[in-house]
Amino acid sequence: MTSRAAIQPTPDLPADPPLVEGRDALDFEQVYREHFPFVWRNLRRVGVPESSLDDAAQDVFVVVYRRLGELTGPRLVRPWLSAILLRVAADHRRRARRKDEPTRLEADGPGLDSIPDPRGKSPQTSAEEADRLRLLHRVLDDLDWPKREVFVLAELEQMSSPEIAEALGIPVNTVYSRLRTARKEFSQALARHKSSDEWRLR
Amino acid sequence: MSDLSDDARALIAATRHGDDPRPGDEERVRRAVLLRVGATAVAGAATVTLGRQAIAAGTAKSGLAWSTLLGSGGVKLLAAVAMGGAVATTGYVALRHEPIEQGTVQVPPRRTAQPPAVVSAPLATAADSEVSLAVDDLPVASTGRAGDSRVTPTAPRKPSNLMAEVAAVGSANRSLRDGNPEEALRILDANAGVLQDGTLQEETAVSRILALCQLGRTAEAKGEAQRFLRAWPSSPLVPRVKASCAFLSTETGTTR
Repeated sequence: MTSRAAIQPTPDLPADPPLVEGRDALDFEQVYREHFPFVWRNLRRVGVPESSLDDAAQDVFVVVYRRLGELTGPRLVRPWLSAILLRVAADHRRRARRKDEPTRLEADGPGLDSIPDPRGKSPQTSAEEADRLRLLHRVLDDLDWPKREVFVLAELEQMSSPEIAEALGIPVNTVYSRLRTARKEFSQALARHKSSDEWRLR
Repeated sequence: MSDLSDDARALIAATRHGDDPRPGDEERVRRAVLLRVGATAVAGAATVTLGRQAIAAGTAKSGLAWSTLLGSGGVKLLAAVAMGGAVATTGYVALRHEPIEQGTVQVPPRRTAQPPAVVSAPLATAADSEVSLAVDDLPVASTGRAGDSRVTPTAPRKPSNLMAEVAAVGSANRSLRDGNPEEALRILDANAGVLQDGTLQEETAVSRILALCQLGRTAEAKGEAQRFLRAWPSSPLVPRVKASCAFLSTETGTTR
């Protein structure tokens, strides 16, 4: 029995192919360095709880390490990574639900850890940035998961519709239609939250 | 045409980098990932196996706390390396028992085509059948507050021979748990070349402190502990160091 046979794959992720040494068309370290920020920020944006962010990011890159050989070129890294991170995120959201943790952001918004590093910024600037980020997450929370994923990749990451279609395994036309609806819902939700905040401040 | 309002555009533009990682996140996660995949690889190629007796001994003694050493993410997998078994990502460690070649921990090559490292260490003998061990059952020392499980952010390091480090520190800690601090020190000294500039410097230092404590070499342990605190004052391992003999009052038997 090999050790890999004893490794239980993360639930909801397909079993990993065997580790093949010497297959790194792309170097793992290179992929990690270039794409860690992409993975980190988007795990948060697609609803991974703050408390699970470290573990989720690890899960993504463990899969990346094992599957690097599937990649045929750097052009395809982001859709490929997106597919992995969206599945890992969905898995962590499910686990969080099972543990009865908040699947979306806490009532008070993201935890302290998600507030941008305040060094070099005035307290007021930092507070404003944190407020805006909280607002973004609250508005994203109002989208359902399929639309949220498309919206995040398209509007926040500027990925093209074909790239998103590849990441999600859906037709490009579906991406277009989800994005169109997501944009409307995002704008409406933002207006709702802003008017609610203004009303509370009165 | 666009379905996005101006407000929505402004919010997106203002928060595009708001969820970016903070300094330290990248390196902390990288270490954990490499420990996980390293653990898997070590388990795959390893000739290290631990039997039930050794597990019982390891859990009965208050050995080095893997959960303290590794943080929440790494504990599942590096614990498996410490135990010399295969790893499950679900929080349980499946321990395999296969015939082993006594005396060496063979570490497979890193993916960066470095030659395999060999760490000399006496190993526990294989026992009979496969058992599962919950991570929660592993020996755990005081870890301080819950948030301390994160590894101290450090500047990015060059790629290191992490798997050799994992194997060396794991062997040393097995010796500690087995009540053989001399052997632990010998392993750490024998692998100083790999460990001294490596990724697991903090873990190595704590292992050394605990080994010196077990040997009754308190003065040396104190010196090492002071060096540790100077080098890594905010390390999550500080509580472990402060719980060692280096901070234990000989008169009162309590930590200072």
